[in-house]
Amino acid sequence: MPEINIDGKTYQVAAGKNLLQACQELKLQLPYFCWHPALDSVGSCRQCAVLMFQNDEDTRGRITMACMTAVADGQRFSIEASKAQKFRQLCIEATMTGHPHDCPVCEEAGECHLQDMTLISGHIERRFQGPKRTHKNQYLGPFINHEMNRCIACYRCVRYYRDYSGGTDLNVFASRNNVYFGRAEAGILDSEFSGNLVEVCPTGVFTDKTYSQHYSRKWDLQSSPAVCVHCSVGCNIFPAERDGILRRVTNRYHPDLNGHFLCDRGRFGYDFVNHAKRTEHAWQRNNSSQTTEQLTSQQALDSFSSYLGNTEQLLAIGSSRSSLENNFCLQSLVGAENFYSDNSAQLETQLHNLLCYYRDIQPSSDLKKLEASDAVLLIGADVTQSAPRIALSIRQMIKNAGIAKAATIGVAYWSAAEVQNIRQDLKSPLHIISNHSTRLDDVACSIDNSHPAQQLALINKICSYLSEDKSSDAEVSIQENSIAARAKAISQDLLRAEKPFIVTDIHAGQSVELFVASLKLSAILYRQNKHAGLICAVPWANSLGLALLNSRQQNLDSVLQRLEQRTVKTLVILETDLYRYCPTEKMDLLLADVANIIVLDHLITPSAEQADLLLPSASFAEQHGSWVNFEARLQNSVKCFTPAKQRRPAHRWLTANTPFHSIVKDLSGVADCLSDLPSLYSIQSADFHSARKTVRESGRTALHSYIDIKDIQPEIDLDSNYQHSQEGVASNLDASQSPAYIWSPGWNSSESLNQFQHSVSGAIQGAHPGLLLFAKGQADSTCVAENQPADSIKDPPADSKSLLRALPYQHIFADEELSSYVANIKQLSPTDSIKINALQAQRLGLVANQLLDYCFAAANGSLIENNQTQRTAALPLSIDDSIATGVVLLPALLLQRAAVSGDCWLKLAAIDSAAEESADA
Amino acid sequence: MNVTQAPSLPLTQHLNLQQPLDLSAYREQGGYLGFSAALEQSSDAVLQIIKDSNLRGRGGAGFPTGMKWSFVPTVTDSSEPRYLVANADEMEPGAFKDRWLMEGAPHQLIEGMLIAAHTIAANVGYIFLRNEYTIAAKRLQQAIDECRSAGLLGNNIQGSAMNFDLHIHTSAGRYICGEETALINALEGKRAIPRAKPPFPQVAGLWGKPTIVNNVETFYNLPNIVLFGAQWYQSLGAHEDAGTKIYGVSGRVKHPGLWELPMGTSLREIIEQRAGGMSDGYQLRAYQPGGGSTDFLLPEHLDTPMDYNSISAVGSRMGTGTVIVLDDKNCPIDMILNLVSFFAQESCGWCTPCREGLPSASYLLSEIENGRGKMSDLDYLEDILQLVSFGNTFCALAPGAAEPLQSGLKFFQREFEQHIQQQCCPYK
Repeated sequence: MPEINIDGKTYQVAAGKNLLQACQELKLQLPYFCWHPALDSVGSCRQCAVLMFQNDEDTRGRITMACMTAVADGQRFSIEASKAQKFRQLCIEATMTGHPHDCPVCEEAGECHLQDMTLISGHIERRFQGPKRTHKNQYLGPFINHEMNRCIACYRCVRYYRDYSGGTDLNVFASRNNVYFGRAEAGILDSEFSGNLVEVCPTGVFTDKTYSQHYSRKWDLQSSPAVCVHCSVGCNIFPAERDGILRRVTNRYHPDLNGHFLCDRGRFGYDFVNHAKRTEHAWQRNNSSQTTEQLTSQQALDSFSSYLGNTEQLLAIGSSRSSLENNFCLQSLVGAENFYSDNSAQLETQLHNLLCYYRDIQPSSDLKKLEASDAVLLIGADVTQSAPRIALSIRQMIKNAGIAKAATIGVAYWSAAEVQNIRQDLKSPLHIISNHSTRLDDVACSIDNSHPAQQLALINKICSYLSEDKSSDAEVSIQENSIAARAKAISQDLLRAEKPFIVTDIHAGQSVELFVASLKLSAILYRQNKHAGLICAVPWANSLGLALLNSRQQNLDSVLQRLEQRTVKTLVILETDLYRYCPTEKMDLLLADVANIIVLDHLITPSAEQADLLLPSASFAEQHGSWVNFEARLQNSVKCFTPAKQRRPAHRWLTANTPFHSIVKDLSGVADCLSDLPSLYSIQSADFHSARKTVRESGRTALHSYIDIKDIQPEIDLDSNYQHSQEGVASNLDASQSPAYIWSPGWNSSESLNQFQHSVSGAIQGAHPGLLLFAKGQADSTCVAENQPADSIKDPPADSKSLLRALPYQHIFADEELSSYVANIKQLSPTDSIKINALQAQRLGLVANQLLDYCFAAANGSLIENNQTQRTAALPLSIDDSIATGVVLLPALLLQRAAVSGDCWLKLAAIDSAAEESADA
Repeated sequence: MNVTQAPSLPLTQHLNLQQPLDLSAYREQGGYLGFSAALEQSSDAVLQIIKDSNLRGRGGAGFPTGMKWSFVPTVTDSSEPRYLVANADEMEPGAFKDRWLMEGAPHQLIEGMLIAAHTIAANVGYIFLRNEYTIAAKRLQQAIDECRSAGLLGNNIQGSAMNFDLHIHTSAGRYICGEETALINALEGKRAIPRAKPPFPQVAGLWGKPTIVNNVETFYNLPNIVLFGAQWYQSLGAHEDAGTKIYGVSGRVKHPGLWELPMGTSLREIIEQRAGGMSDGYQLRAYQPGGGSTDFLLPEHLDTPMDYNSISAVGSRMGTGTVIVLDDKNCPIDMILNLVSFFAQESCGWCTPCREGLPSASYLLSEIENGRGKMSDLDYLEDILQLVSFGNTFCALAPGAAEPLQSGLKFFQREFEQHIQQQCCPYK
């Protein structure tokens, strides 16, 4: 470890870093703007200037930028020297000559890095009296405000947006003190990760537009360390509430998962918690009087238990979007034999295959490891749409070849611009096997968009190359562009790599054989290289957790079967909407025959509308809960605020107020891998508490004075060490539990993260990284996937000319249930269409934008009548030449709703528009 | 033709502004013999000659050319491209020497670049040409075409193993493109912002490959150095530095212009003899010896030899060697304002001190010049000078821009105070 001297004190610092990183780790106060822990150094803002001395005799020193200076043994610096201090002051003063000083009306104020750095620098006097440059702002879509006059030209926005997240539609324009950061023309930002601009921007140029709609100062927010529920990655977040309204979501750093960044669905998809259609009261349907009655909580509980009195024909459905505890309580209540998941048989099988893979072959890998990988094979997963944060990590992995090249000429990884100049177009290999274009195509070195049958052939070929004796490589003569040639190229990259990764996912409508083959490939690779990893996204936030609790036979297909057999009298639906898994008319018919439908949910979903008894449950923000993410990492999410009115966590309806800790304890006994669960919730000594509210909270006693002048006592949370008040240990480096918000004296913005970390890319002190349920694979056992024979994809059942293999196209803003209730998200969800390539369209005699009717053909070859009326089912055709021939893409939700088990095919037909019109008339 | 007689004006011997020599005429007068001589020698041998000649870069910094070239790594992978760039983005206020050379003797630039390309094993060359230099663009293109037809550019040049092709890139026109790393970014199609060093362009330059960027005038020195040797070249200098130099004078002198003179010719000779002294009715007040971004010098410095070290010793820079003269009837503050505004305008916007500091200085100067100055503005200006001083900014643009201001505040203190006290410009 190099030893350096700063202002007369000697410090040991980590080798290979720059001085700014070192200063942050030493908690020395040095201001900066252009540096960012994930974007590294470019040396443009000149704010982290220190004095560097040549040797022991040097008394004058020279100004140097800490972020551009590699630490080395024996160096001597001064932060406090007046020359350095004055320079930093002058630099801020210059920065502020263009800034409008509009803090009172700026949404960033109070958590503004520019404010913080100004204070740290000591600049107090505004001497510049001249005119300030002004800019025009742009409309950037529903998520982000643009106020360019506040810009201090740190360049972090474009460096993040372009260099980190791969966006192309935000750029820097013009020059001198007139540089402009925006789009060529106003319009919706194209990136799925645009929301991070809000946190990357050190001042109020890019702010959260959804937050503006119910804005509150940071100091008035109540927050908690929670987990995002919008996909299976389980990004760590801070939800923030005031007065019963969830105001916003910000990133909570997790070193191995989301790091500093979230996707836009995670950041902006929170408003379902505040939705007008949220449940607030318990309701009961009275069929005789044709009315619905509002119940007291006690009445509701009584009614619930009377419904459950007869367990004979009872069926309960758990939820992939609800916590492990809620699902567990329902399962315990109704008995495992009556408890079913909301996954189709196909999904459930894949989830169990994955669990088996994690347990028996290889423990899962995290996103940090993925980012360090040097070759990735992405199979059949459009991860930008299904588990977006994974795509952002793949983009970072691409850069590793360039970082390695830069290192050979002595340029450190943190020297961002220099690494980029050396790297140029050099990429670590990303191979994509898919059936249509994905958002990662721009960084891929090879893309195979083909029919699942060909994909399978390619993967099987890769498997055989990987397991082959490598000496046989030379003799095979391979035709260029053949499957063998492509398989060989991909295999070579995977074998050459030190840390190769397979990335895939489980999603409704995918080809089962393909997924199993991917697992097999991953297993073969892992047996050759223990640094190889697998990233496999799963459908929803707790899909894997639910699979862990449940047997694979207890799935949605069997639910539908039982409903069709009319053997269900009482149906309990926990936080899931059956109408997402079945055509509306069919579900209406099925539910019509169920005598008692009990729905627990926090939103009035179409299923909830069918309820005979509706119990208002709480959203993720209003309850404690555990979630199992795609890598089988069990994370706990802390309740942010107390649910209003009759809303309460589902487990409290299901267990009639069993203490949360008892539930957790019981749950931990269900499976060996869950035995450590209570450690996530361990309550410290009684006098230790963390505050959810800030010490600066204003109007605490006045907020409800318009209702009642008396001071309302803050809610006491018996289930955790977090208080719904300002009282508690100030979060800091000594904290033994995850802070409820990131805020430290002098560091009011999200940049204060460094005050909570021991090292720049280290964990937040006190934050539990979560439990990896299968931390150690057996590696010598095999799992289902491996034993599966190299299957081929089934041929279409009948009339193969007009039948196309139906596969889903996913969309980040369309597919996920909870975010689909959010207006801002909905605005960006695309209109549904049927997608095929031009050649296919030509063969079928179809043209773009033509309205099409379609019907499914099942594996047995029978055509399934389209259950929806023709009018709603008709979809326009859109042509996409990246789609493989023989394949038709449907919106993921539509395909899921078709509820066709296993592989399915589609027959397309143009709607006779003349007949349409006459029908209209 | 065999040339045995070394020229006394090696840079301008072929100069013809009306009708530059075409390839055959240039060859008749000994053109490309220097290149032929270089081609017969190993690149190491040529490099040694250039090192021995003590040729210093003519772009302004005066860095020894041979040493710069020696940082290019030896060829390990012959398929990897290496680049040679002529910096012809001449935008220094007061400088017009490169334009003169390129318009008058385009082939000599190509010959110089061929020698350099041979020495550093470059296979692609660019002339990064200022957009406004349309005549030079035309004449250079003509010369390049001639060379391509004659096998002087392209593959297996003159039957050797050398491959080298040359392209003209006409710049979109920013002062910052004269900074070699910003020039490289601009060539790559990126924003013209400078790069941090290290890595130096010699190691990782254009498209991440080894790259040498030299000033146009530097290349003009090469053919005769190779032909007549380092010792001959050294002997051309009048003082410490070797060779000859294009000197220029602009301002209120009798004969503004450019002259090739021995390196180290005194300022007095340049201004009083070559430029004919001040125009009638004007007194010499001060001058910038090396273009707009160099410190003012006073009449008392006139006997200083114009070479790198001597000019530094009296507090300015040799720069481009093109002198701007300030007379006694023009307002010095107005002149400084003009220069600082230019540089503020040309800031690339990358680093804070330059982007925000120069416009502040420009604003303060205009307030003072227009009779609205305050005495405290002078302290503010001093602070801005500190902000933009060398090492504090990302590149040398702002420190250069500060030079006329910093020497101006020293030499014209009385004028500054007059402006502020009288709340007007006494020259108007």
